[in-house]
Amino acid sequence: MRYCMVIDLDKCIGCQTCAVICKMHHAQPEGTWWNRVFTQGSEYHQSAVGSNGTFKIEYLPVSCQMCENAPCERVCPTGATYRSKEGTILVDYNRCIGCRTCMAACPYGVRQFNWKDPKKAKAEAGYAYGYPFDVKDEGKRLVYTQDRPAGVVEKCTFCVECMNEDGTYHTLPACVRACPGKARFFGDLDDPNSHVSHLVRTKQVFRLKEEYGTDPKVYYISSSKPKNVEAEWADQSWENKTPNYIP
Amino acid sequence: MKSLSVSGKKTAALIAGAAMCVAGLAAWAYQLIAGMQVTNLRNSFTWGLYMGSFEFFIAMASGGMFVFAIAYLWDIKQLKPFTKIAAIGSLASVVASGVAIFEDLGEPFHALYMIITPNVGSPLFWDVIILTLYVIVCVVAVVLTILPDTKKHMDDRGYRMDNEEKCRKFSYIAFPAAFLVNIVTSLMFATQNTREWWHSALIPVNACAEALAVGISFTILLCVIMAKHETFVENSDGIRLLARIAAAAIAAYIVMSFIEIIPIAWSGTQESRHLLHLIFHTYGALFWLEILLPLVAMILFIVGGGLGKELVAAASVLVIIGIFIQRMMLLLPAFNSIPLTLPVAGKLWTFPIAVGTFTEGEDVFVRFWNYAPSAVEWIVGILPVGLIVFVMAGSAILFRLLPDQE
Ligand code: SF4
Ligand code: SF4
Ligand code: SF4
Repeated sequence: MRYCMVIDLDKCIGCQTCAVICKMHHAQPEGTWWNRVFTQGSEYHQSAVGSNGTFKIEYLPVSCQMCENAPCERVCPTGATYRSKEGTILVDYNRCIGCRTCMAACPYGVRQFNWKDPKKAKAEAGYAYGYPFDVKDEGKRLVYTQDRPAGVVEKCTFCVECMNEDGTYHTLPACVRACPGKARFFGDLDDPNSHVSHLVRTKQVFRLKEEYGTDPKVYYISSSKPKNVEAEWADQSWENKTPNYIP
Repeated sequence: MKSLSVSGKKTAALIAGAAMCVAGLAAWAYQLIAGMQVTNLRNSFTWGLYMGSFEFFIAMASGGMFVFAIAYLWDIKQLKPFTKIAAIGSLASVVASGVAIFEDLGEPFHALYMIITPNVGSPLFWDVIILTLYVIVCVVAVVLTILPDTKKHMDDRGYRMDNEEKCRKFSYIAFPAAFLVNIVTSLMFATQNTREWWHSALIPVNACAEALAVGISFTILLCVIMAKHETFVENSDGIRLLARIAAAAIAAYIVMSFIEIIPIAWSGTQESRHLLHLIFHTYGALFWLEILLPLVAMILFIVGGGLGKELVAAASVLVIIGIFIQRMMLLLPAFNSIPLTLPVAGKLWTFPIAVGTFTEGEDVFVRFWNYAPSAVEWIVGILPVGLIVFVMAGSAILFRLLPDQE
C-alpha cells in the first residue's frame, strides 16, 4: 500500500481552502503552513503573469510530496523521520532533536520548525484549535499531537488521524474534502483499480523537481486550459505567413 | 598602568574565558526557554551561526592533531616543544564544536535517540560518531604529551621519562583522524543533491585543505601567544615549516574554491545563474574576503615565515577570520537559492517558503531570508570561544605547556 495524491491543476482555482483547512485541522501555530498555494510565476497570489495580451493564471498547491526516495528520511540522524507501512513519511515528535537537517535536505520547502512553543503561542492568541487527540503509529510513534513541542519539525502527514489501525482511511484527508474545485484525489497507488492509479495512468501527469530523484507521490495533472478547438485552429492562419512546417 | 605578569595574564584569560562561558550559557538557557525564535533563523534558512561555528571549530581542531602527528612521524625536533599546546588546542576546539552543534538543536534533550534509535544512513549520525572518537583521540594525545610531566613518570633522579615512542605510534591514528573528522563532517553537505552549492565531491577535499590552513594557523597563534620569545626564535624552523604547510593548504583551498564554482557557472541554468548572483553579488563582499584574507596570509607565511612572530600571528588571524567567513558562506547562498523553482514564461520562479513565525507587517512567505545572527545568537555563539580560552588558560596554569615555563 502506498498512498498518493493527485491534484488536477485545471480544476484548482487557487482559493487556498486546502491550505487553511490543513492549518486549522492540524493546529498549526502562527507562521506555519504545511500546505501552500501560489500563482505560478507571479510575485503576488491571484495576479496574472504574461505580457502583450497573453496573460494567464495557474496555481500550484504544494505540501509534503511523500517522496519514495525521501532525502528528509535519509538524513535524519535519529530515525524521527521515517516511512510508515503505508509509505507515508512521518515525523515522530518524541524522537526529533530539532537538528533541521531534514529541512535543509527537503527540496520542496514543506518542513516547518517550531520556533516557539505552539501551545503558548495559541494561548497568547486566546484560542485553541485542531484535531484534539494524539495519534501514535504502531502504538508507539507520536506522529500527531495538537500541541507539538517547541524545537521539533512538523509537516503534512496525509492526515494520519483519518487513518484506521489497519491502514485504511475512515475519512479522506482534510484538503481533499475541503477543496471546492474537487481538484484533489487521494488513494492507493499500488492498487491498479484505485481512482488515483487510473488518473496517473491516463492523464498527463507530472511531479515536481523529478530531477532531484526524490520520486514524489504527489502527482499534478497538467493544466491544459482547453480552448475552443475551432478557434484555435483558425488562429494559426499560417497560410498568410511563413509556415514553420508543412502539415 | 602596570603590565600584568605572566601568571596575571593567565588568570585574566581564565576569568575572561569563564565570563564568556557564563554569558553564553545564560543566553543558551534563555534560548531553550523562549524557543529558537530568539535566533534569526527561520524555515527557509535553518542553519546559521551555530552550524557555521560547528564547522569552523572542527576545522580548527584538526590543526593541532596534524602538528602533533607530523612532529613525531617525521621526527621534527623543533615542533616537539609545541605538541602539548597543539594537542590541548585541538581538544578545546573539538569540544567547542560539539557545544556549537548542541546549541543548534531545537530539542537537545532528545539527543540520546541518536544512540537509542540511530539512522545509520544519516551523515549526521556518522558525524556524531566520528566527533566522539575524535574527542577520544585528542584526549589521548593530551595525556601522552602531558604524562611525562607527572611525578609518576620521573625516575629516581627526577628526570622525565620520554614518551616519544608512544607518541610516534599514536600519530598513526591521530594523523588520519585529523582529516577524517573533516571529511565526514563535510559529507553532511556534499551528499545533499538538492542544494547546488553543496552537492560537490570537492567539498570534503577542500574541507581538508581549509582545516589544515585554519588548524595550523590556530596552533601557530597559540604558540605565539604562549611561548616566550626565545623559545619561539629557537624553534623558528619548526614554525616556518608549519607556516609553509599552511600556505600550501591555503593555495589548494583557493584553487579548489574557484574550481567548485566553474561547473556552476558552466551549467548556465537559471538556477545556477541565481546562485552565482548570490555568491558574487548579494554576498560578494564576504566571498572576496574569504579568498583575499587567506591569500594575504599565504603571502605573509611564505615571505614572512622567518620575519618574526608578530607577522606570523597577524597572518594566522587573517586565516582564522577568512575560514570562518568561508564556513558562513557555505550556508548563506545555499539557503537563499531555494530548490523549488519553476520556469514560468522563460523566467525562474521560486516557490515561497513559510518562515514559521508571525510578525505584524512582515511577510510570512519568503523567497529570500536576509540572515544575520541575532544578538542572542552572538552571545550563545560566544560560549564555544569562551570554552577554548578557558581551557587554554586553565591548562597553562595547571601544566607546564612549554619547556621555557616553570
Ligand atoms: S517533500 Fe520533503 S518532507 Fe516530504 S517526503 Fe519529500 S523530502 Fe521529505
Ligand atoms: S529535525 Fe528532527 S526530523 Fe528533522 S532530521 Fe533532525 S531529528 Fe530528524
Ligand atoms: S482547495 Fe482545491 S481549489 Fe482551493 S487551492 Fe486547494 S487544491 Fe486548489
